Amino acid sequence: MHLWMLIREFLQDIKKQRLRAFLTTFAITWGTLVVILLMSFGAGLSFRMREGLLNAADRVITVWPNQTTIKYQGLPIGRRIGLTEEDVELLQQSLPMVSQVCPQQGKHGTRLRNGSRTALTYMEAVYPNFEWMRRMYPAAGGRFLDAMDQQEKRRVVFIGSEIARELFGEENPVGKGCELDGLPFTVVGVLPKKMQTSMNNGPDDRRAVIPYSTFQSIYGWRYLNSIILQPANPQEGKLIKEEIYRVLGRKHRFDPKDDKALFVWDVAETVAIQDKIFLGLNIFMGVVGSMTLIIAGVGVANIMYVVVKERTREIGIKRAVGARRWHIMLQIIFESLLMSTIGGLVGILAATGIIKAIWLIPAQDGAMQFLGRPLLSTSVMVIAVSLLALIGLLAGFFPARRAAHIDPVEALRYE
Amino acid sequence: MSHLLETIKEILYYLRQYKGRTFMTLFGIIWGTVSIVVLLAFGVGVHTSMSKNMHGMGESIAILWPGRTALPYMGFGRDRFISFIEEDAELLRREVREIRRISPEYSKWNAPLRFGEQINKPNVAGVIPEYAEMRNIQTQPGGRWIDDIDLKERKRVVFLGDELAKFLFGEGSNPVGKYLYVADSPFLVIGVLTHKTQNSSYSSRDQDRAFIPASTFQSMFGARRIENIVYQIGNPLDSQLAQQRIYEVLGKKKGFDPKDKEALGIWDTTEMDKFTYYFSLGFNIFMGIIGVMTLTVGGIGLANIMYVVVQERTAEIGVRRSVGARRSHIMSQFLLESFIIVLAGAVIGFLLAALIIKGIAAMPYEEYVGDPALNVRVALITVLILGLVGMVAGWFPARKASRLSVIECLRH
Repeated sequence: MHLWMLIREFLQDIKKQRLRAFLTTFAITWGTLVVILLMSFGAGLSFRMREGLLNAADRVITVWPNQTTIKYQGLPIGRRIGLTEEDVELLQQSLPMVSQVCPQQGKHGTRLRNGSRTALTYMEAVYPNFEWMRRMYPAAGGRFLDAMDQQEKRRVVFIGSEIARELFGEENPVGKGCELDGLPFTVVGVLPKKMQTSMNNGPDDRRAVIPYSTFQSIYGWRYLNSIILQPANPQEGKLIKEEIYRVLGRKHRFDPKDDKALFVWDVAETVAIQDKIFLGLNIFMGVVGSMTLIIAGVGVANIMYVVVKERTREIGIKRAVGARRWHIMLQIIFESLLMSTIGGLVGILAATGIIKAIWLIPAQDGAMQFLGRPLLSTSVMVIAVSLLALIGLLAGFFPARRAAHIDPVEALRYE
Repeated sequence: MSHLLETIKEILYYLRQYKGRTFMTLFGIIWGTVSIVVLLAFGVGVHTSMSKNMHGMGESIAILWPGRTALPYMGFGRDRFISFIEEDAELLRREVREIRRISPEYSKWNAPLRFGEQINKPNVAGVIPEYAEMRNIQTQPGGRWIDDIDLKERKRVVFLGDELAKFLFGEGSNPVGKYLYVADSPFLVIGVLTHKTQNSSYSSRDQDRAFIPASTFQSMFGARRIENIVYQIGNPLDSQLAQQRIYEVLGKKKGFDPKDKEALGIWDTTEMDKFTYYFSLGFNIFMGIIGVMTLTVGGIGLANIMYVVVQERTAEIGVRRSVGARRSHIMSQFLLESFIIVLAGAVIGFLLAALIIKGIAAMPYEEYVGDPALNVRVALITVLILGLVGMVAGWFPARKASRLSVIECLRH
């Protein structure tokens, strides 16, 4: 009953000051829009960057051989270290905290041919566990290399989407044959288009992958390009790094402290740094957005002060006929809360609509992939709504307190 | 003039009377200005750091490798290997007009560099003097880059990457003028690379490489084939045209079909430039839009209060008009009032923003997001937007005030 009266009074006031009410509410709408857009863009950008990195290497540690820079056991410096398949086994056996180990061997300028269509690319030879370590998930209808392929040295190949298009056009390549450096191979799977921000030897979309055993039987190269390891627990990266130097140092006879003998890259470290940067960016975005909403709130408070001043007589009469202080306060706070609620609601709806619309813009390549994919998460919504509630309350509270402390006698005398 | 002063005095009097209100309105404009300036400066910082990283290797350059033919041509079968010799670079320089600079590049991985007991096997490259300008190689003070006489006389001189120099000679010592051994021949160190950020490379980053004159490389190692050719085009928009010409010219000389894309491998960095350009453009536009939106909120607050002011002073307006003030006088009075608020807010906002930018620049994130920079363009855009917002926010209330009927006003 009481609430209904408050609303009626509010509506009457709004009718009297249409433009003012509209502008005040609009400012809140606008502020909400800015907060939500900023935070969702920040969240979207950091999510995409993270995915881009993990798509290239899912928390793996890569070890490249290099040359020694510390004298050890009477051996000179400047010695090149060569990693072989035996080292893969050694690492697998001596590092219990590593779940997967995979050799990487590759050949630049491998020519793939299907009839008259050719493609030149970097061919890679790996174990089947490469699939999870490097997120080489096949498109439906195909598969990655498996243990049988490796064991039987099968001539099978897994190709990236770009290579598939160049060789087979719109056809489905799975099950079809193609020539690799003149030898017949069967395509077992295709990698769907993948977004990655880090790459070596070109993007995965332009890659042909064959079993390591097959590569060995064709080319017989002894030394590996690199070894990749996946820790069971990504937090243990530092420990694993030390162990790698210790284990390989003993076998290849280099000082475990010689950090130039191997080049070790832990993706988890890069992810952690990148996450920190984007946390900073998101906090920055959030602060800027919140301040915008706060300006709008200050606008509401400003107008509420004016309202209180204009209604001084009215308040005096109300107090004179028995209204308590909190009655007066409630009225003012209610008005400000209602404005921020309506404004906020419209703002949230508008922001959702805009974000939906942005997602409709096609973003195949380039910058739009990162900038054009805002994420509207629950936490963004919660932050926006609680900010709105707080602002509505505060913007009402201070003017309301002034209104409540007006002396009724003075108020009745007020012109 | 005295009239203007009078009006300003009056306005300041009013503003002082309503201190709370003035402050809150001002706050909106101040924060709006701060966020526009900071956001735009941030965008500039990101752009600068991205392009600095990109251009570590060189600006608008492309690297050309020999490939293998995929199409039969002039009676030759397919799958023929193409190779480059030093003269091919000169041929391209003569024949392709779009190319501004070009250099052949010999490359070797198995020549050890030794100084005292320190040995390293870096990538050793044989290049010509023009190479440094393209590849953004700058010499540390006290040293020099390979010059024409070195090239002509096949001098045994070497230019070292900074990390390599640090490894061979130790930190802090000056290697210039000392002799070291390259594949067991004494070489004079003539210069060391100034440290640079480089996030893309081929045959390892410049900081780890050693450079010697191409002619020396040829006579020492008896090499005929070069590893690759590096060229720079005058106008990045010509990159496609230049590539097409290169296929034609080299196709004629080496006997491959100019349509055979696989006969040559080209890494054109202008394509990465394009990504960087669009990314930072998009980022900047987004930042700008958000800044404008923030300032708009401040502007709305200002307009709202100006409407209240007009309402409150209706009686005063009536009196003024009846004693002879024109509509334009009333209008200019209110316009001036909102402009004073915008001006004060803008000045304070700029100062605050400059402080914040200084603060951010002092933080150690430069490598990733760059230092935000307050440049002339940012300032100009902000002033423009501020002027626009102030104009719109002041105009409508002022127009309302000037259009009030005198009689209605007096009756108020």
